[in-house]
This record gives sequence, structure tokens and C-alpha cells, in this order.
Amino acid sequence: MANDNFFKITELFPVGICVIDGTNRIAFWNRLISEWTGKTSDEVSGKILCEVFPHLSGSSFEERIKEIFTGAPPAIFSSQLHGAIIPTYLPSGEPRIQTTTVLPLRIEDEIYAVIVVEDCTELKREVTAYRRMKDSAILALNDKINAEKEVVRANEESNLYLGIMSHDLKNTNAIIMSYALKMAEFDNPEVVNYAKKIMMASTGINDIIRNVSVVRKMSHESQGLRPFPLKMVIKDAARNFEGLKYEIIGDDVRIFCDDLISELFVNIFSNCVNHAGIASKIHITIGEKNDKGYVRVSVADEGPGISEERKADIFAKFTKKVREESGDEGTGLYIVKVLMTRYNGNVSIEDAYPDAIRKGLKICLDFKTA
Amino acid sequence: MKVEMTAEAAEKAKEILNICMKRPEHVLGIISSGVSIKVAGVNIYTVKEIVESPKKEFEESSATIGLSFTGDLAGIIAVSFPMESAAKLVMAISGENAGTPELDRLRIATLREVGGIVISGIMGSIGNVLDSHMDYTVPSYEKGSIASLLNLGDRMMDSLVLIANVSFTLHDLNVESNILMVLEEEQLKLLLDKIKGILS
Repeated sequence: MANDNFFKITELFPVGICVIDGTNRIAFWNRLISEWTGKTSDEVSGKILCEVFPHLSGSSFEERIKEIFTGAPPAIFSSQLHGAIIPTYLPSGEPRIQTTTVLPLRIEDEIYAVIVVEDCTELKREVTAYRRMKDSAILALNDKINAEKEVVRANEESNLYLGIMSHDLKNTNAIIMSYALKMAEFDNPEVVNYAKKIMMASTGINDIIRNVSVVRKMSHESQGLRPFPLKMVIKDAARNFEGLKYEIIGDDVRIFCDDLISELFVNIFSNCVNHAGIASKIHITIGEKNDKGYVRVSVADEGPGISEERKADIFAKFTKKVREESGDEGTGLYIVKVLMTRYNGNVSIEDAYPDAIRKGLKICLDFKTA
Repeated sequence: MKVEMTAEAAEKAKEILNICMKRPEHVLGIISSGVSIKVAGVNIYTVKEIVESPKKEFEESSATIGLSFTGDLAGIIAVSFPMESAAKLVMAISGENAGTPELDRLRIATLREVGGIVISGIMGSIGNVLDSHMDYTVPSYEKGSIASLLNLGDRMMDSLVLIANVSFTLHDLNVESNILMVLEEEQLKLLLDKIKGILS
């Protein structure tokens, strides 16, 4: 071939190169393709391509290579759609995966087809591994999304049943309460005593229903905290208890909370009434705003107080152990704790009267102020 | 003055391009049977009109295979697919029946082959019409909107772009794409006159 020197530069390229002339005879065979095929330049030069590689005879490769000589643009044979035009091998003997490009080259009046063989074995391995990894990640993500959807659906279903159950229990409980009220009008002291016990139990059932409803609401995302006037909140909560005696000491303040704030005070007052009785008085003190913008609100009752052992788990979730040890259903102060956390605040307990002469429990609430 | 395309001329161009698609259909059909390529319509724009157009098809991210040619006719020809459709088409042609439709390097190489086959069908016919030899670059892949790919500087703004809307159908898959040919006004006139001469 007249342009041997021209083609020698391709010895430096990291691709296999074979040049054929218009009669399909091999005119150039670079060093790399010699290494990859195991066929030397001397072996193949001057031979017809299809004689050296018989699988090309009559193939679509041959057809498309012929087009190059009629002036068609370069043709690409990708590794995904084709096997090798010129089979090449790795040192291990495995076939190389390759992309082949056939380009027309005009030298003087002659057209040549330059067959460029690019090894993409490693690329294919990497891409295949990447695809496998990505597909399994997508599968895992889809599983997670489906599981989350199932949780949402199950929650909606359980909320529906809880809603129906709460509604029906409230109605039934209202009937029990109305009969108990009628019984309380009897002249028989024993019947009146039983009626009062039934009324207390009925009130307890209502508390449980309300608290379950609050716990459900707490499980939803807060719609955001906003300022509420504290004294108004306390007064609204106190209206749930007929005849509740309480005093508020200190100036009003606006605290950051949400619509569940009323439930927080209802639960605290309920705790006071349960342990100190409706006839006792609740002492509410609003402290001064501290330099971090928090205000301490303490609610003290006149009940029997609480033992040192129970102080540790008074805010614990309503477990069987808590119910058995405390004697009540245990949801109220747990709700208080969760709501204070939701309001970026804090709750703690103290003895209402540290001198130990009088007893009582003091619940201390630290609210962020507006 | 911009070369205007009458409805009749557009219809003729569509007809010719559909004939040009027979060869790519045949070549792709050897690889994957049932490939159908149909040209639905042809329009002429200036590069400036496309670059400044608010049309979604010119703005959305595309996978484009193109090459430039010189000789009696000089310009750029490209086939442009919406990104995800390109991956789906490659997967369908290569028989991949599972996995995420994403254009990785292997699929880009396959898309270069598919685009190259389509371009070859058109340029082969143009070469025959002009009865002349042209030199080509190797088909290359570009990612980006058609508008951004054509934004090649002020010098090119008045060049004309012949756009053919093409649909590839393979089994249940239908992929809409655009074939673009960018030419100087005189060159496009020359091409259209030659075509008119053959048809008359």
C-alpha cells in the first residue's frame, strides 16, 4: 500500500485497525489487531476480508461495509447489537466485546474502508454491574414505597374503626351516665353510692375515649405552632370539669402551641381531680419569661402527692406495668409529655409543698413564648 | 429571504424521506424485526427561530446523534430523540426486556449505530440525487435540547434547518423523534431544486 507510512501512526492508537481496499483485500493491519486476533500482518495482508473471516461472507456486515465504498457515511456496529466483525480475544482466551466503526477514506482516487475495533469488554462489565445495582436499588425503593403506602392505608383503616368505635362507645356511655344520674336521685343511700361509682367509671371511659382520640391526632404532623394566650387556654380546658376550683397567679403570656393545647391542660386537670377530688383547688402559677424566651407554668394539686419511686415513670407510656402500678389507665400524663415535646418545651414534676407538711403534686411546664 | 416550503413541497419532501427510510428499516429489521420508521411532516426554520422558539420539542432534553458533511453539499444532519424515549428504543431494538430506561455508555453506542443507520439512509439518497461525493465525520452523541445544540454562534443563525418529524414503531413502542438537517440557504435551495428536477 502506497501510504504505509501514513498508516504507521495508527500503531500508536489503543484500537485495532484494519484497512481494506475497494476489492475487499486487506491493505493494512495494525499491531494491536495482530495481538488481539493472533494473526500477523504478513498472514492477512492482500487477502480478501471474507476469506480471513468467513463468517462475514453474505452477512449484514459485508452489506454495510460495501456501502462505505459507494459513498455512505461511517457505519457503527455496537456491542449490544452485534458480535465481532473481526473476532478478537483477551489473553485468557475469552472473546473481547467490541464496538466497530467502519469509515470511508479517500486517498487520491481510491476509496478504502477503515475498520476500527474498540475493546469495550471492561466497559460492558462495569455498565452491566451498574445496571444490576441500580435495578436492585430501584426494586428496593419500590418495595419501601409500597410498604409505606400499606402503612398509610392500614393507619387510615384503623383510624376509621377507632372513630366508629369511639363514637358508638360515647353514645352507649351517655346512656349509662343518664341511668346513673337517675339512680343518684333515689332515696336509697346504697343505690346512690353505686350510682356515683357508675358515674365515676363512666367519666373514666370518656377520658379513655378522648385520650385515644388525642393520641391519634398526635400521630399526625403538626400543622405548625402558633401563639395562643395561656390564660384563655387554661380557662377553656377548665370548662370540661363542672365545679372545678382553680386559681391563676401571674401575668398572661402567649405560648407557642397548636390546637391540641387544650387536651394538655384537660389531662393535667383530670389527673388533679382523680387524685385530689373535685372539691380541692388547683393552683396555677405563671412565672416570668426567662432569657431563652421560655416561661414556666406550674400546676399544683392538693392530692396525696407521689412517691419517689413513681416519679421516674410518671410520664411513661400506658404500659400494662404502669397501669398495674399506678392504678389508673396512665394515658393522661404520657400525652402531656408528648405534647410538650411537640411544642419544643419540657415537663417535669415536683412536690407541691417541699416542706412535707402538706402534700400535693406540682407539674411544671416550660413553654416557648411568642 | 427564507426558503419557504409550500404545502405541496412539504408533502413531496415527506414522501421522499419516507422512501429514504426504507433502507434504515431494512437494516434495523435484520437486527430486530418489525421496526417501522415513518415521516409525519416536514418544516423549514431558521436556526434563530429554533433557538428562540418557546416550543417544547425544541426545549426538552434530547439525545441527539449527528454528523457533519462537506462536499457539493455541506452542513449538519442529526436525529434527535427525547432522552427516555431514546433509551426505550435502544432497549427494544437490542431486546432488553427489563431494567431502567437510562442512556448509559453501552446504550449510547447503540443509539449512535441506530442514528447512523437512519442518517446513512438519507445521506445515501441525497448523494444519489446530487450524484456527488461527500465526506462525513463519525456520528457523535450529544445531550441537550435541540435549541441549545443548534446555538452554534451568530454566524449560523441564518442557516436553515429542515426538520422532519419521525416516528419509530417497534412492537408496542412508538417513539417520536426529529431529523434535522442544517444547511446554508443556497445549499438548501440547491437540494430542493435537484429534488424538484427529479420529480418533474
